[in-house]
Amino acid sequence: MLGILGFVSVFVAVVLGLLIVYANNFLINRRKKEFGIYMTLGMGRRQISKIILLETIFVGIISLAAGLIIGIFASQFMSILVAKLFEADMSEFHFVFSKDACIKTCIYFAVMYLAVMIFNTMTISRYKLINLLNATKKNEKVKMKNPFLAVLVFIFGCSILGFAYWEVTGNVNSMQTAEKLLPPILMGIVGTVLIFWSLSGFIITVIQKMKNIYFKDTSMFVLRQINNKINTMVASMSVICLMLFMTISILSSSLALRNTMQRELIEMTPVDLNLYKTANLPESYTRYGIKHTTTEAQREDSKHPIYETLINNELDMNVLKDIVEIEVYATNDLTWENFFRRQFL
Amino acid sequence: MERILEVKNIEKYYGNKSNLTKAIDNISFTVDKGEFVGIMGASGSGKTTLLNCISTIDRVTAGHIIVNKEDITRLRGNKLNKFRREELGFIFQDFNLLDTLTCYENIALALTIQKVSAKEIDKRVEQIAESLEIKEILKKYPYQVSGGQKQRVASARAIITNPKLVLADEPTGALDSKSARQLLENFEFLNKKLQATILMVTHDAFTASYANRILFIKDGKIFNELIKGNDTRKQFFEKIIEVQTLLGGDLNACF
Repeated sequence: MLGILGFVSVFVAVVLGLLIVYANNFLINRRKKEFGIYMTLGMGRRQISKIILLETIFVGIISLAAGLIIGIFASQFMSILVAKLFEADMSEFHFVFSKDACIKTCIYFAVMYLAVMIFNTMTISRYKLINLLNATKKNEKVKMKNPFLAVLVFIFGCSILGFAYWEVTGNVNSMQTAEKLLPPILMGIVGTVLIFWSLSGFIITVIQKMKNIYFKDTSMFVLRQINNKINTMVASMSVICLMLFMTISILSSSLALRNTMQRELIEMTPVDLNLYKTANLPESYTRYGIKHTTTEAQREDSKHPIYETLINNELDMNVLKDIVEIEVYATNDLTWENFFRRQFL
Repeated sequence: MERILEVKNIEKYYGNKSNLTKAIDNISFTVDKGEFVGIMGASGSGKTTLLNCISTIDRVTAGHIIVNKEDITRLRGNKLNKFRREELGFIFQDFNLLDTLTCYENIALALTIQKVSAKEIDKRVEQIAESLEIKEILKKYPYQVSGGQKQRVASARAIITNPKLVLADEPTGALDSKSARQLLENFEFLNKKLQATILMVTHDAFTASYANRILFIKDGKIFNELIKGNDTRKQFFEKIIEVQTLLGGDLNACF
């Protein structure tokens, strides 16, 4: 259980790291002209990288501190929630601070920010001065996909995704083991990525054929803007979509698991208290390979039912409602074979 | 006179496979210390590209540019940064001041990058602000001052490091006529009294008339040169207009 939690936290850290690097890249790109001015004044790339590094470090430290504080309080809240979900005893609850989690957070954070700083330095050193200064004047490059390919890939992606979804809904009875879930999940991931990759090309190809929609009002503008956004964000959209898929599936399956556990618990334990007693104990006996000897008092007590033993020990019988007594017999003369006649042997 | 700039047979192509443009076609000229040179041409003639190449913002495809006996087409990395820091000063058409700094800090930035001492910085900024008449706005932010004042702050930033060459790209392009005149008179002051060598690109004849030498550029080539000599500004202005008329008339007759 702890292993899985650890794995999930690494996965979340990786995805967050990617998103942060992406956001940071975006912010650096917005400041291209400013860096161009610094360079015309004679600042070297190393100096500019140092400035960006310092800025990132400061922002990093402040956000790490804020995140840790919020996280500590949020985790208390989450543990209360989970405990309530499993109906645990809340009276023992106290404030928990996990030193391990704190250290892990700092480490992941440091790694993420290291990646960010490396990317920043690489970005700055790649740009030519003329491009930095003219950044605001240049038009954005539009990466268009081959329309024919886009349509093919879109249809292929849709069919894979559709098949994957059918496998886990209509064909769910064939999912007997956990391993059988893996192919549909993989197909779902591939299908989602392919769809996002080809979506813009597909939409353009289809709508451009429908001239009465294409030339209406500002449809051309809206269409191209949406397409451009989809195109530039294929990677992040796929990642976010898949993260949502994971979150929703894990959340709903954990709720379902918990419900099942509750139900089974109730079914398996119909009574609050089970008391066993062996009647008519002999002087010595062997059970499970261990020899036991009995005292006179034990032999005497074993002749009375449990009810009497309890009263003799001064238990207040009012605490027990609904008492059921069951007598179980055992004999060496009766074996499994007598009942089942070799059917299941 | 000491030769500050020598441009030798430079060519510049840019664009890609589908779209190749020859911006500069075998240009050569020289500039001596203390000259105020104007480069005139219509839009698209290649004058901004020429300035970008000389100022190391962009790189030429062929040829050499020698500033103060140093071939800048061979400079790379830190040497290039050092060169830009110490020998050149830039004035852009859209000012390019940093929004987050006050005017004082914008001018001082050029000195702090050179690691000049703090006392020195204050003295020099006050001095240059005095001579360009921007002392009152030093504490203000760029968004609070007019275009003419911004351009003067940019000019102060350009010359405060005592560069060998000041490069101005359409400095009056975004200014009204009064501010433009004031800026150009400041340039004259910088050139005559502070001995700054100025290379100015413009398409406006009035701005060009303040220079003492004009190079006319058309389609990437220099096709004419005018020297002020002992003319007054007005006489020089008329000569410039004559050349422009020639351009607007029947072109094929000249070449």
